[in-house]
Amino acid sequence: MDHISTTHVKLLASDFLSLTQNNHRHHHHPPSFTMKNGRPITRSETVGVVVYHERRDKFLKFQVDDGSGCIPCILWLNQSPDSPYFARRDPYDAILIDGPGFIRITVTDVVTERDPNAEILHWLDCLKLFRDYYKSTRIGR
Amino acid sequence: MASSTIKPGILVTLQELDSSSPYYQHGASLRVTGKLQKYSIENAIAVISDGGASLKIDTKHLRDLNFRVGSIYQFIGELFIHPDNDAILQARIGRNVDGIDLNLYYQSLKLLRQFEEDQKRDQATSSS
Repeated sequence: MDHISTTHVKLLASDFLSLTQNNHRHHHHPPSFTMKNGRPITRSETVGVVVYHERRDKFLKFQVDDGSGCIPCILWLNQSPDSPYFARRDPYDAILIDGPGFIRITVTDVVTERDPNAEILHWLDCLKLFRDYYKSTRIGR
Repeated sequence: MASSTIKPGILVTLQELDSSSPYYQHGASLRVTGKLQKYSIENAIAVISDGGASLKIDTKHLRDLNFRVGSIYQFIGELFIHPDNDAILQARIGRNVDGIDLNLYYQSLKLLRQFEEDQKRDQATSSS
């Protein structure tokens, strides 16, 4: 098993948008995606500026711009026990495809980042992690 | 604005926005950073500067942003170039980024661009 498939992989928006969905999906497993170098991932993390948002009763749609692309995201508001729409969902449902070739991230956690340097440090993390870990095509490194 | 039409604000420095720059294009979506030099309440035009370069920002679409001369701001929007070659960024996003390490920002921007170039080259090599 490729161990990065179970961690939150730090990605730039351009990397997000180049992911491809794996066809095989089991009910009790998270949807799986493949990076350009062939490594599978199921969870990811990014930092950017919210440039669009649309709130509905049951969800919040927003887009995150980090300069390399805009990531469409959806936050289901019925995940909160306080929500009148609370419903238990598959906790692995972290990423999903919405239409052919279009990735939308189902957000499991979102934080407002006040530190203006956080995005810069995220870029550097992405570059280092890609060079040292993600770039390798060897499994279980 | 429909969510599907949003273009990312390409990260640029103000020094890069001269008329010979590939980023200097009418309608280009950009993200710029600089210190607020002046702000006009009458027409909502801000002027930011960095490294000897400056840029006018049209802020009329921004809400809940306080302008303070001397603070550092970041804007995302579209560049409009008038016939007399005067450029203004029509901002759709703006935020105060006081505390940002601009040296780290510009060094990281160089690394980020190099990374993206390397990615493109690797992709071209693997597909050929």
